[in-house]
Amino acid sequence: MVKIKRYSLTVCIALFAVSPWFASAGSYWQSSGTPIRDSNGACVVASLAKHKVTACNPPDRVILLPGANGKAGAVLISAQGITHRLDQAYKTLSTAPDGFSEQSLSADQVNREFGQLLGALPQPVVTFTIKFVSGSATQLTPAASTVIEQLKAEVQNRDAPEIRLIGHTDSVGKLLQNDLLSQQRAQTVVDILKSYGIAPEVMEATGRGEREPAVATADNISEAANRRVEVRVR
Amino acid sequence: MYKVKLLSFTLQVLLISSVNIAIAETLPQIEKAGTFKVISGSVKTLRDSTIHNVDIGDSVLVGDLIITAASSFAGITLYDNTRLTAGPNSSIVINAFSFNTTTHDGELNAHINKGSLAVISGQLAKANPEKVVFNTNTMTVGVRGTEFIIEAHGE
Repeated sequence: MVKIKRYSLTVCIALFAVSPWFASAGSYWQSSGTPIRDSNGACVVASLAKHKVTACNPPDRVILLPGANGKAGAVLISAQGITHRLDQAYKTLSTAPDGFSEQSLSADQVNREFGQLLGALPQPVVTFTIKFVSGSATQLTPAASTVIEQLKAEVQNRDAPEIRLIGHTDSVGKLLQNDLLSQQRAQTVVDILKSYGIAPEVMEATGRGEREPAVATADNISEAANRRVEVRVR
Repeated sequence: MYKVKLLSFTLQVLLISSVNIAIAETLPQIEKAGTFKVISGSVKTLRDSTIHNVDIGDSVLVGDLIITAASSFAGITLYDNTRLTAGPNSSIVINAFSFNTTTHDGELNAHINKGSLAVISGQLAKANPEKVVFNTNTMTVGVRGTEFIIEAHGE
């Protein structure tokens, strides 16, 4: 649908372009379908066949922000067959009649203009690791009870929490037995959270056996760091 | 020639008014893409040709058109942990979303008809950056693992 629409928009602008009225207004356009503006860069409004049409729009804009680590990533912005890379924080790129226009904003300007928008972003995902006693599907390490308390608080403090639990084992034992053990460990944590009144529907538990160790080891090595359930709260 | 152009002009006017509905209707409606986590003011979805009021905890499905009123915001977390916020007076379609939690394969394609969208990219953009694309009517934004805002002024 979008493609068809874009095509017909291009045709529509071509129609404006051949109109003598339009040419006499001292305006400019681009055959690529760029918005039509007058010599001051303002939008031109045309009346045609009873429809009042704004021939161009304010520019679309992308504003790059620093990430959680303070460094910006990058976005690739394509329009009218041109691709532009934006990779510095607070740089913005707008569509313009002749391609793109790049500007810099300050952190303050972004906060003033977009503080509310950014404040309405959902909370980031938090990961908890609950460790298990060797060979056991149900027995947590003593330290794990503190993590369970933190996990419970995190879930209860969130709106519409969703929880993904992934069980793991160390490399002691057979691969398929460990797949089962890891699933049972994940289920143990599901059962604990259920006992705190957390709805089972928001939990999704899987096991990865010994396939994704936190610490890589040879086969049949007992490793406490790998006997765990990773819990991601979204 | 003139007649043909006039016809396509009329077609364009019709399409402008119906394009959002058309996008929502022609895509599969089954896949869950994520969850509304933050709702402020009035937020609605157009799904299966029906307008629904949105509450915190409601699902975002592939094909949903998300519409925010003035002074309203909608915060969404997708399955790959991508976080989005639609600002006031926005109209945004989730055209495609899939994510495999094991391989991190999948895709995300959203179209901002108008308004603003803040994005913090997730696991999908980390594993398969070329599969994450946001569009406006005038530009296509490819993501290389980052935070950004897109503003679109629509028709």
